[in-house]
Amino acid sequence: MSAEALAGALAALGVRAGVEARDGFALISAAPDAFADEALRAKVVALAAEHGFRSVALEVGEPEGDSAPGDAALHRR
Amino acid sequence: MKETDEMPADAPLAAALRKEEALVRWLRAQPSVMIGFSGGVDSAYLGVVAVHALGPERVLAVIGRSASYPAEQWATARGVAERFGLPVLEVDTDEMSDPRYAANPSNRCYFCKTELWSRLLPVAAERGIAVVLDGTNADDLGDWRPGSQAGREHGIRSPLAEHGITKAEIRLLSRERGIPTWSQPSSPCLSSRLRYGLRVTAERLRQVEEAEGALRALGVRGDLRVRHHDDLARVELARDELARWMRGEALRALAAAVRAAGFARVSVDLRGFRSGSLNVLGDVVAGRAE
Repeated sequence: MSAEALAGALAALGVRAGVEARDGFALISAAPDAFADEALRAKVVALAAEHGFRSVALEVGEPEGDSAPGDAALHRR
Repeated sequence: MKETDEMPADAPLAAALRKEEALVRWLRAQPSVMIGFSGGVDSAYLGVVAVHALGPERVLAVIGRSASYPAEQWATARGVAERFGLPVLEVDTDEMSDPRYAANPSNRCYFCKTELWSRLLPVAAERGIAVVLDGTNADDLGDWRPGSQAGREHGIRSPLAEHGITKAEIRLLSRERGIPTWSQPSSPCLSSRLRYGLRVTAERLRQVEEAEGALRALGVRGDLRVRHHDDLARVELARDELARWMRGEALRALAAAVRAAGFARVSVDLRGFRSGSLNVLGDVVAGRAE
């Protein structure tokens, strides 16, 4: 499982996201609006699986301005 | 269930009814039965069939109550029992005091079911009840079910599984009998929400129960799990619910409800609900004891 590699793959997909490896799944931090699209969710799920994660979850931040949690790209293991 | 040109529309029901007839014959051959009764789809069906087959004098449903047993399910269990005339007894279980259970290993259910049957079997013996049953169904046999080992060790019978009755058939047959649990989502204990290795505590179970209750109150439908990953909640929604909740105000309201239950961080699983997802994440394989 590579959080950094997945973050790179998401960026190539047009999704700017921080990725944290947690308990076998990828926890991603990104602006949530785009994830209302089912096709995008499916692509992100597939990418996460390709990078060794058994699932992927989108963190939903507190409603403070427009920033998502960990808005800067993060590659934490 | 899909209709095909070769199969009459009522074929699945006819097949299920034949299995039920065999189940009823088996039940009637028992002098009396006790049922480990959670009020879930399987044990509700078994309890109703048993009381219809044997009469209330020969059937006793026993609810094992503990911090891991959701209050909502308890209410369902009592409601089904009352509606169908199923005699019920409640017994407190204390699996939380077993450090092997509280450590939350992947075979946690083994210790939980050991505690349950250890409490119920003496009650059965005192009352002269011949056999103790659980609601394991035929589909469960291929799943990771360490609790089943405890059942075997205590001589518990699983007549639904033994007669090949699947979950889908149980729902179908429940609907035929007017049992309201026929369409109920599956409802495992609250401990199943905690990732393996995360200690089971009353506080964590409360957080999960409160978060799921809040999401139901918001209007979340279908299968729902709030998985506990210590500081983080990972919410699993049914696929069609994901489409409803992954947008704007709805998503913010969902997260706020879970946060209010005490989670510092909230996330939504983009795959949606997956039964046994903690087994997948923890690389637990069916049949392998740990």
